[in-house]
Amino acid sequence: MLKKTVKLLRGSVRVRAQSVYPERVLNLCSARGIEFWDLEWLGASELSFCLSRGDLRALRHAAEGIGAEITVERTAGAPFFFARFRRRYALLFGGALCGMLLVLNSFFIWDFEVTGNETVPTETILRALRDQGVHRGTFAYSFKSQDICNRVLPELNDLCWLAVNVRGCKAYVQVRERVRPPETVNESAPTNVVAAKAGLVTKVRALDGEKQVLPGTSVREGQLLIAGVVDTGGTESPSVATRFLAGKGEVWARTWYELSVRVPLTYEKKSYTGAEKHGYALLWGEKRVKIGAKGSSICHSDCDKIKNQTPWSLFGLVSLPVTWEKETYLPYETVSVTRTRAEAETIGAEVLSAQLAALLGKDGSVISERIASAVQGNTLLVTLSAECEEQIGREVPIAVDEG
Amino acid sequence: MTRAAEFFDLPADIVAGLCHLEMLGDRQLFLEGHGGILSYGTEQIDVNAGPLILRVRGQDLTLRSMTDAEVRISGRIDAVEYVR
Repeated sequence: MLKKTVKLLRGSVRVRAQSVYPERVLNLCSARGIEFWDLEWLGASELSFCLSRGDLRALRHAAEGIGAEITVERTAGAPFFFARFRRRYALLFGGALCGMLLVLNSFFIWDFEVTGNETVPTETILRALRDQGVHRGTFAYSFKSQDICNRVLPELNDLCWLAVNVRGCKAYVQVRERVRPPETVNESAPTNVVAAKAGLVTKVRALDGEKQVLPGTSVREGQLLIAGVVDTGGTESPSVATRFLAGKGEVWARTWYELSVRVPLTYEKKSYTGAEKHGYALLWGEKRVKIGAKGSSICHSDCDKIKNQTPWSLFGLVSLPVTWEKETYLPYETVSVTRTRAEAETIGAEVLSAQLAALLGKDGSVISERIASAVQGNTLLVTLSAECEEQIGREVPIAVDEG
Repeated sequence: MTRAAEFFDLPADIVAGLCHLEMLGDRQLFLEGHGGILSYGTEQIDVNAGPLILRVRGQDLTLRSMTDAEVRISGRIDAVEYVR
């Protein structure tokens, strides 16, 4: 396979050698180092074989010495193929122009690849770069990576380092995100634990501070559960100073929720007419050239527009600054659809369950729940009543007057 | 020279300039140190092998490659003989 490719690139010639002693031609070839293949014996004084294009002159020269006649029967390979276009000046000019455009193209940025970002979106980085003049179509040597880094970093506080390296027509943007120091918790700051929600206390675990409630107590929202202010002396020794502690702990309680949502019994639904229209455009860097139908007038009624962009590249290796865009327009009509009460109740229950899960957080659990629904006009009012168990303690700092 | 090479247990192809012959079943023949092709045909090829002529007989014989030192013949080889 490799040999065939090399032969094709170098070009090969099939020659016919006529001589009284044709084998002498072969011996001559081997003596002069002329490689040949596909030898065919045509007769007592004739044979034909293939040899590379470069060896033809040497063979002719050698054959003169032994009186052999060399005739070219067939030519093949890249040099002969391109030789055909020697006089086709327009084609040569077009090829040269294409090559020149390709070389010129490689001096501009046509693609970006951002790496190293996890929390900062790629779009934000590209927008910041664009604001500093680095975008598609920018001359690759018109900026310095360090300058861009200095100008972009003040805009993106979550990044601590940025580098733009241009290779070919692609800009590789490497970033490092800033690692924020964790928030320090002041363990000694005096705090109370109060109820975040009203409920019936089931379990109190005070790690620091003094319990103010016992299991079985009903508490209101904001009620003190674990006190950070402890009167150490009590009534017997009133002269001893009050101690301020960091009230910490967990208070578990049963809580009750009643959530409602209105689900419409009739709603509008898209119904595609089945018609389909297409619009095409060529994107050249930042420019957009529409092809065929004129823009927004393509779809008079309501329609969905689906854009499909295909960036062009040269053999999948070199990306070109051209993107082919196909827009598909799917016209639709809105149809009024009625849903049954059961369907509406299911939808409402799903919405309310998700809402309840968000309110409870990951520690809370549902003990029991009940769904009720009632038709009110054109809507169904779905109500979820749930009994849950969750941690309701919330730490609140105590304002201590130092004076 | 050949006898001297054999006596001293030296490689005769290097010392005495004898040709070196290798065969791959009945499909290929490789000859090193030849002196040129003497006659060529699809059923018989004669190669100059120093003081002797190496005759290869068979069917669809072709000269696969040839340089000034080596020659490779392929096809269905029926017989290889030396002609003195």
